Amino acid sequence: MNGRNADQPRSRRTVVDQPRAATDGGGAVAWSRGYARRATSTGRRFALHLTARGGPTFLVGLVVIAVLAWAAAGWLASRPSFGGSVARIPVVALAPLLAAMLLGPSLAGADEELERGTPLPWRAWRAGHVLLAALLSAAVLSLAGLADPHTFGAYALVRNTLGHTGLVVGAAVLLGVRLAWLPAFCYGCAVYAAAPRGTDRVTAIWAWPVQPSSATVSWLVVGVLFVAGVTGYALRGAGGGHGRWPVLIRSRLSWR
Amino acid sequence: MSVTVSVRGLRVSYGRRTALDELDLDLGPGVHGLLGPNGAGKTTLMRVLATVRRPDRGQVRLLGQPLSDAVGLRSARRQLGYLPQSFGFYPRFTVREFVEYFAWLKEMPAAQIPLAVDRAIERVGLLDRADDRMKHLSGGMLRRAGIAQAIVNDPRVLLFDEPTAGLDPEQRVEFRALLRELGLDAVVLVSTHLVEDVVAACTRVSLMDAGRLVFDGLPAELIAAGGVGDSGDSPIERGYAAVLRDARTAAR
Repeated sequence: MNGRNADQPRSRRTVVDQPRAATDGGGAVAWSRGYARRATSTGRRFALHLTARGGPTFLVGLVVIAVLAWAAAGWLASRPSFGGSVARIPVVALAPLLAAMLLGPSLAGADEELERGTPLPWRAWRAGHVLLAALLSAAVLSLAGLADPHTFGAYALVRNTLGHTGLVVGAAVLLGVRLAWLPAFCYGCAVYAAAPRGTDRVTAIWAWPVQPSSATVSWLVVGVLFVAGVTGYALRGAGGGHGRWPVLIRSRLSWR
Repeated sequence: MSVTVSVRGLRVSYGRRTALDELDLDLGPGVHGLLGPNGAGKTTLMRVLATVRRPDRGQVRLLGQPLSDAVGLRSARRQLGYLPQSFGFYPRFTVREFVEYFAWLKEMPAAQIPLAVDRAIERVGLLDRADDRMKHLSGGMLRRAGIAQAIVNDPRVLLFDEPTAGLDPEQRVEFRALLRELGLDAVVLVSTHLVEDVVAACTRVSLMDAGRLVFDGLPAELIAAGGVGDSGDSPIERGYAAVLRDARTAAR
C-alpha cells in the first residue's frame, strides 16, 4: 500500500468494519438481527429464477390469453353463419402467437453478461426453461380447444404453440430478446392475412399456422422450427439481455 | 508475486478494429488499477477475464485454470466476481434477492448463502435498503448492489469496471477501504478513469493504450514518470500523460 492512503476511513462505522461485526463472533449477532434467512432451497432457487425471468408476468398473461381464446373460440363456433368449428381459425392462429411473444422477454435475464460469467450449467437451464414454458403454453392453450379438438381445436393450438415458440426462441438467439417477437409476429400476421385455402404440401409448409391439424406436413415444419429454435437457444442463449443489442449485430459470442 | 491471473498473447478484435493486441499480463493478490483513455481496451480486457468474451487468440489462466478448458472455466467462474461498467438491474428483485440470485448462480453452497448475502450487503452499506426493490434505488445504490453481488462469493479474482461511477465522495472513500481489504487475499482489478482512486487504493497500476499495455508498475513509479512540463493537475495525472505520450511516440 502506498503512502497516499490518508483518506482511509477512520470511523469504526465503515463498510469495512461492518462485516467483522457480523462474522467475528458476530455471525450470531447478524442472525439474531434477522438479517440472515433460511438456507436457499431448490424451491427458492426456482422462485428466484422465475422472478429474474419475469415468470409471473408470463403465467398471468398466458392464463388471460387462454381464457380469451376459449371465449372467442366458443363464440365463433356458435355462430351458424361462420361455418361452425372452422370459424376458430383466428383463435388457432393468433392465441399461440401471442403466447409465444409473451415468452420472448423471459428468455434472458436483465443482464446476460453478468449471468453468463457464472458457472451455472446454462445450456441445461436454458433448454429446461424453454421446454417447460412451451409445454405449459401448449397445455394451457389446448384447454381452449378441447370442445372439438380435431377441427381447428386443441391439436392445432398445440402445433401452433410449438411452431411460434420455435420461431420466437430462434429469433431471440439471432436478434436478442428485444426483437424476438418480431419475425413470428410478422410471419403470423402475413399468413393469417393471406388466408390460403389450399391444403397441398407447399401451402402446408409456408402456411402451417392456418392448416388443419390433420396436415402432417405442417407438423413436420413445426417440429423442425421447434427443435432448431430450442437447440440454438440452449447452445448459444439469447443474443444480449434486455438492454443490449443482439449478438447478430455484435461480432463475437461468449465463451460458451 | 504469486501469479493468479495470467494472460499471454491476448488478441481481441471487433470486426476490423483491434481492441487488444498481443497483450501479456500477470496479476497476483492485491489491488491493481487499470488506467487508459477511452477505447484503450480496458473493458474488453475485463470482459475476457470475466469469461464473457472469448478472445480471438491467446491464453488466459485464472487461478491456474486455463479458460479454454470447460472444467477449468467452470471452476474459475465459481471464484470470480465481476462488476461490469453498466449492468442491467432486475427491477422485480429486492437488493437481497438480487445478491442471493447471484450467490446461487455462482454455485455457492446453499447453507452459506443467507449469511454471505447479508454480509455482502452490509459491506457496501446497503443493509437498510436490503428489502427495497431495485427499481426504487438511486444510481449510486444500484452500483453498490452490483458490488455486493460481485463480492458475495468471497471471490479470489475480482473485476470492477469503473466501480466508483455514480458514488458520492463519502461512498468512494468507503469503497477504497473495501478495495484495500479485498486486496489482502484476492486479485482485485479495477478499471477506472479516476486516477486519485488508483493512488489511494491500488498496490500496482497498469496503463493501456490502443489495446496494448504501455506501463505496469507501482503507483509511485507512474508518478515519477511525470515531469513539471507534463499536462495534469496532480503528480499522477502528469505521470499518466507522460507515459501515454512516450508510448505513442514510440509507436510511430
